[in-house]
Amino acid sequence: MTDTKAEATSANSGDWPTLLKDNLRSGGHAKSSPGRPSHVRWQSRMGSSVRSAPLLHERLLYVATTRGTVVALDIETGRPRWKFTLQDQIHSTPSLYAGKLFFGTDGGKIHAVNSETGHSVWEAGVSGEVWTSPVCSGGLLFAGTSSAQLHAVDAGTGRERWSKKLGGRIYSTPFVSGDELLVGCGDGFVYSLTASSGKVLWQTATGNGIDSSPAVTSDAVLIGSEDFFFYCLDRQTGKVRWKYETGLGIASSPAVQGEIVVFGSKDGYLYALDVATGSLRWKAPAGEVVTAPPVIAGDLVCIQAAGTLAFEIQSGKLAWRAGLGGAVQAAPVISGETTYIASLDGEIYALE
Amino acid sequence: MDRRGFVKSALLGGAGLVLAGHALEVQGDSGAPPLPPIETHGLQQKTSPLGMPGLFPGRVVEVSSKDAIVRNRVSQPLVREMLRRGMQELTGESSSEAAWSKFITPGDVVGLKINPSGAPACCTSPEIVREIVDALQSVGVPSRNIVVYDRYAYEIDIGSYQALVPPEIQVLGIQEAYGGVSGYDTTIYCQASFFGEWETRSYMASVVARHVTKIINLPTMKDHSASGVTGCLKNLGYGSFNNVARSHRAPYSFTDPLIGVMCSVEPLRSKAVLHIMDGMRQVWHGGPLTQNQDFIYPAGILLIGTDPVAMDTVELSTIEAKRRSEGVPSLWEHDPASITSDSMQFYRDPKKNLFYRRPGHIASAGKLGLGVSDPNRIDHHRIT
Repeated sequence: MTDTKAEATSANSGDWPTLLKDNLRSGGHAKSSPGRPSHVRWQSRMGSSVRSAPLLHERLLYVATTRGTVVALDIETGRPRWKFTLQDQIHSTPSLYAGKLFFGTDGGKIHAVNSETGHSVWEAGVSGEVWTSPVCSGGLLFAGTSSAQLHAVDAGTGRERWSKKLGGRIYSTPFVSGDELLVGCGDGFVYSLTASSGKVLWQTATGNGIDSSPAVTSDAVLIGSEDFFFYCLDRQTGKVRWKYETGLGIASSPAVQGEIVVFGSKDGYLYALDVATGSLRWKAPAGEVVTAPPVIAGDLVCIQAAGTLAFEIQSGKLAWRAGLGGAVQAAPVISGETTYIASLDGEIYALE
Repeated sequence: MDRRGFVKSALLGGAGLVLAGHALEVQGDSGAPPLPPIETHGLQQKTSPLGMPGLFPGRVVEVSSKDAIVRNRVSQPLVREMLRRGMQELTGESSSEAAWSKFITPGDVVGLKINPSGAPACCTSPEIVREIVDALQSVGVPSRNIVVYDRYAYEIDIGSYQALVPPEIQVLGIQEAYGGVSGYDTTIYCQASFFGEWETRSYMASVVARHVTKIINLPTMKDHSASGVTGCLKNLGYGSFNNVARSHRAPYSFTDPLIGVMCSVEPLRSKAVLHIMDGMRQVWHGGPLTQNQDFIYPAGILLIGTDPVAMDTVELSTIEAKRRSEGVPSLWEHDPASITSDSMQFYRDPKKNLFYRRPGHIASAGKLGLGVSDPNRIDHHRIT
């Protein structure tokens, strides 16, 4: 199985060109652990809610708003370099690939925009609203829709290569590596498909719909379900290796570091489990319902819940808590000593 | 104002205290400001026979199953069966399709008004939404003409409804986190100044006013710190108009009579044809937002009816009984010693509350013609 990290990572290691930094979708993995933010370097008001995560690429922070505006902000000043506006809503976290910014809309389209200029390159109609982050791999984009369709679209032209009807709505962002595509579905199944054709290789049932996105290790698929369980599946066969029960549903996508997988539950706790056995390493209260994915930064794992919280990943000890950033669902971008956060009410913060 | 009437509700202003049925000058509540006049601007139309109180005034069907919720998981198959039995009992029809066809035609655009506030601990169960969608499709309503909606998009997100409901139906959060009138029809509103707030109007959601032709109301069964209970009336009224939190400023509340007044505004009144109250989980303290499982009881029931007043009367009685069994004050309690301004204390201590609750909004709604509030006139069928 190939590692597609390079496809979504620029030469600048501080960049986050896609959801959770790269196509591994394993929790960001910023190199250094940020300290507790002491001040706001800048704050930028978008004028409407932001429900997707920002991206960072070559000193521009890309933010999409629910009122259909995509903005490229200069990370030094927080001022817009360009804006691109649609008469549509955007909940999809964009992805950067080959000089283009890709994102889906509630109106059932995928857009490609020149990342330098903000000019439209192409738009493609798909079967329903797109909230997932388009995954870019091997020259294709992959995105699921509310109509239960998984679409593969040519990243250069926007032409559809294939689409596959699954059993439920798709709000889980796929994991793609080589010819392997893994995705959770509202029908409660985790699917493995070929990325080249959409052929289903295996499907494994959970007890309720899936809102979480999968992370993988070399041989396992890790994903949460609304049935309150967190699952570890065999990557080749889909067989359940273990599952761990939490107090409520799990929408938070997991982060993986070595032998530890970390995720949040709607019961208000952050959980760290042993990847091999599913045994609990630690459990820490987040003070609020957790639906955001955790992000790993050095020795810390950060989560957006009741503010931004950072826990020591090995012990679960709270390292710091910052009150800024009211987003309940957005993943922060951590680059060096700066943390970028999009809040629910449309404020973008650069914290140091 | 060519197509709509301007109804200045003098009755609701000057006679509001009488209408509410409970004088404001009760113990501890004497500092409340007087009830102001409430003006309503709705569509001028004759109320549909299907509109509240609908085809079965005073009838409430309660379906219960002890296995419908186990270890906090709602059973999809049992909900399906409970819904089928409850709908047939309500209507007297011998099939589920015939029962649903009394309310819905294939040409309808149907809004499902969920209650995601309190998600994820207590909100409208996606399992119930799925079964209702299935029932609507069984009588010919296409998926594209079904809208699951509520006011707050972020609460819908927390409930993961987007992922959990069937494909192709629309899931709509009318507004983002804060403020604004985008998503609301500014020609249909209720106006009153309760506490000197700067914005005195509450506008009806456009999806209610202009898009859907029928509404199925899906409240949860829980107490409410200001109104006594969240139920059919509050879920519908306060979930269809914006800027409603202004009606209660601790410790005082004008939820009575505003909740009923809002429900009486057309076209909301005519479009709300059926109410299915999710009592899988029952919140007996800390509503509407508590996440404290100590106060959430797995009751495993559904209430079904067309009369929101009768249903809320049953709900109020049920939650009162549960509170009595837990040894905590009545929802009608107005002892100043029971009031706290500390929300953390409120969420921990069921003997404390943030407001002088006003469950009288149910009786007030009855006086507006929305249904039957006299328990002796309610036909309460229990099915187990």
